[in-house]
Amino acid sequence: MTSTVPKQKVFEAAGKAMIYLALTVLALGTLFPFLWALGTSFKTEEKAIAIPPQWIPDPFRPQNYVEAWNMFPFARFYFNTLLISVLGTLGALLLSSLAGYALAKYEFRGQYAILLSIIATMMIPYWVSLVPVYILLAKLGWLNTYHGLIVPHLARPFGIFLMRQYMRSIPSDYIDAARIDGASEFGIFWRVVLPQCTPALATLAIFFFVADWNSFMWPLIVTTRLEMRTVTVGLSLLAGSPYRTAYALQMAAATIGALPAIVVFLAFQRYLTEGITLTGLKG
Amino acid sequence: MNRKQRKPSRKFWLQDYKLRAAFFFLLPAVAILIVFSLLPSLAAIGLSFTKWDMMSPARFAGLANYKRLLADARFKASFVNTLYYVIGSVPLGVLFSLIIALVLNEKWLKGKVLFRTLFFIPVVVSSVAVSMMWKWIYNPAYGFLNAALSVVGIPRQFWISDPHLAIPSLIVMTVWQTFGFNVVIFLAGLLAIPAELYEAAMVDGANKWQQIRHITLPLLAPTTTFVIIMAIIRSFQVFDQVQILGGVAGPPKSLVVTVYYLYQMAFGSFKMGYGTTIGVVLFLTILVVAVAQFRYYARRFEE
Repeated sequence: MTSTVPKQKVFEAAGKAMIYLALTVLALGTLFPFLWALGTSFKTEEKAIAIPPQWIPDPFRPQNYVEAWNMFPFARFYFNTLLISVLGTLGALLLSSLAGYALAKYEFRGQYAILLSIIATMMIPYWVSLVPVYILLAKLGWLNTYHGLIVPHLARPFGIFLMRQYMRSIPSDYIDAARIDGASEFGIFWRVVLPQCTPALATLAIFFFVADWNSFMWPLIVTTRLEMRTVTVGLSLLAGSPYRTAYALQMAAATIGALPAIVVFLAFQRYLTEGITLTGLKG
Repeated sequence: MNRKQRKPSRKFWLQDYKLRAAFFFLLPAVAILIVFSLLPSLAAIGLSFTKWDMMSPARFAGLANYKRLLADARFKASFVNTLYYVIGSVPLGVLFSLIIALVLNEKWLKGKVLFRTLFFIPVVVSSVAVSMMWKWIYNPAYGFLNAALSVVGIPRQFWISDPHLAIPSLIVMTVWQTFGFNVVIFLAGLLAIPAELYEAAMVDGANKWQQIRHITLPLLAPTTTFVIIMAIIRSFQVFDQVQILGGVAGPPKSLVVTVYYLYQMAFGSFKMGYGTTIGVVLFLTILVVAVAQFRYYARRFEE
């Protein structure tokens, strides 16, 4: 039967099948560390270290999650992280769009210099200024406070740059019309410009939220009191605790820590990948 | 940055209501950047010329920190480890991502969004959680990797504590975590290449490889530059993974990277001046590498 099909077509189909196979293997490899952690997290400690490894947890032990959750005040860590991430994201969105708007839709001297300076600060890695900022926060009495965790990162050059690029594509006619109608400058920004920026804002919101949720070194340094710690720092405490060899417990904690970012990403991933294309984040 | 306040244009700057609005729109972001980024970076340069333990006042120390840095074997080792990590992970990660992006960009391929989404998942998970999971896989006694390798007769390996394996293990882990990000950026770049170019090439009888070489890669060069520079900057900053893989005892010598050494010096030993010096030197290194990279590509792009 196949003799009627040209050989070239067969090779092509085989090549395509190989590519699908390779991509599937890669996708499984990408997911494997998560699935393995998830599997371990439901095992008894005894089965977790069994050789050869057990594929499906049996007996099934969801209590690991309860124990991991209560080992450290994870409820508090979650609250802290959520508060910091939500306020940090909203604040950074507001500041980015305000500054981006000023740079995109007004004309004044030194505008380009300001834009370049903001982009230049994007190149400074955070740990160059880590010690001076830490000292500054210590002097202000901002260590172990929410504002100490949030305020220093409210202005994000990347966000300002992205909003500026995006807002330049909004026609100025709307703005001029609103101005003729007597709208205030802030009113124009808030009611005319901002609603047109939803795609860019959504992209940035995911970037900011995920970055804040996963931030580690900053909260590690700025907080010392247990009740001010975040999820990532809590995880590192657990990873360094005497329970470090309770592998099922560790994996339950790691899963608890990984889940929110994965859920947020899967729920909004359309905006993220579309946003990267749309906002011209491609060099 | 505040030239606008000192040098008003013909009209008084703050008297024009539009400019006044622009000024107040810019103020919060610019003020925070100045206070928490720009001034501290300048202060870091100043601080690198001092000795300071935060208990007693800082003392001016001239070039002592820089001299010490040059003679510090532990700093050199951390720098070599970092370079090894950067050189090992950046080309591998970028090339791998580029190949995946080229495959995903094929028109006949179905499930592109699904693959792209799956590959991106590790990017959004915290390095702390990811490192805990990999530490478990790398576990010498009970880890999955050794168990799997033992099936084909490979003896037990100490992935983190073996000096020959520590950085390669870190490279594998971080390439796994970051390639999905590069793939998405590359796909965005590929989207911008006009389809007519490929159609014209096909009319001229160019095969797939010739199309990639003469159309895709040259037109993708700006994206590639961006991805490479981002990867270099990110790799030089690696910290979270080392902290978690190291655990209570701290990372083995072969895994101590420069940012971790900075952290140890500044916040473990409270040598604020010395810690800052490490940061300044590392920053200058990244700057030189990134600028050189950028110029190299800019020149090639012009040709």
